[in-house]
Amino acid sequence: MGLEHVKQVFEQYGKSDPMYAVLTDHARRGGKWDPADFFAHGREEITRVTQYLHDNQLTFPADQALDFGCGVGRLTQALYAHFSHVTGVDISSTMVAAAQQHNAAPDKVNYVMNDQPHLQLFADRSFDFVYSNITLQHVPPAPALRYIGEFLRILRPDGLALFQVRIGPRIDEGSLSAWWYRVRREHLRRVWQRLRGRIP
Amino acid sequence: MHFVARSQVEEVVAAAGGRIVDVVDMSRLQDGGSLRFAVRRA
Repeated sequence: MGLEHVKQVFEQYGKSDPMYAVLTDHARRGGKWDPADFFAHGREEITRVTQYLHDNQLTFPADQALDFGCGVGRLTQALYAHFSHVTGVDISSTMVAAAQQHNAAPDKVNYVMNDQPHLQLFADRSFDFVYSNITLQHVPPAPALRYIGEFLRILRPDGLALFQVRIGPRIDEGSLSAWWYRVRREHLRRVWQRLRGRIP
Repeated sequence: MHFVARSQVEEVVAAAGGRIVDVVDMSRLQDGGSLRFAVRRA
């Protein structure tokens, strides 16, 4: 199971309703997110993260940070207050374009698109902090696990990666359960969502 | 929504030369757990 479907969905959302795609508050569907409120959510989240890091004595140099699955830059824009430079990376070019429009600190923040199942666009040991929240849950298991391995490759020796995943039963590539997972996720789900009139 | 097993995350981190330094339960929904991993290079 690859990333093509993920990219298709978020390219479409990036054009139609990028903030709702990132924070799915149904009352704000259809472009009703106020950007000020949207980015305030990001600052609140990063405040909680920095408090967690402080409380657990998880320290690292505050130089280079990566926001993996940056979307419109909700968290990227909050991270730059804590680092010399922040990179936001997303699978969707339309999301990256929206993020660039909302970039309040172009001297400290850059956005890049990556639709490959790896992070080869970044050199080994490039980042002090890699952060990812509510992103890997949209990525099929095989590439999601590969990205986690990539987080470690691009992490500097004293760095830290902090990432969230949804936990479920183990599904190994090539197994019968992987085949059934793919059928359910890729085919049956698309049929169901088309019936409901949503983006498959 | 996609899921991975905790054991798979642990294996990938170890294979990539890392170590898990903390895990936080971020679950808010009932249809599956959500974990946040803090990892460093080993």
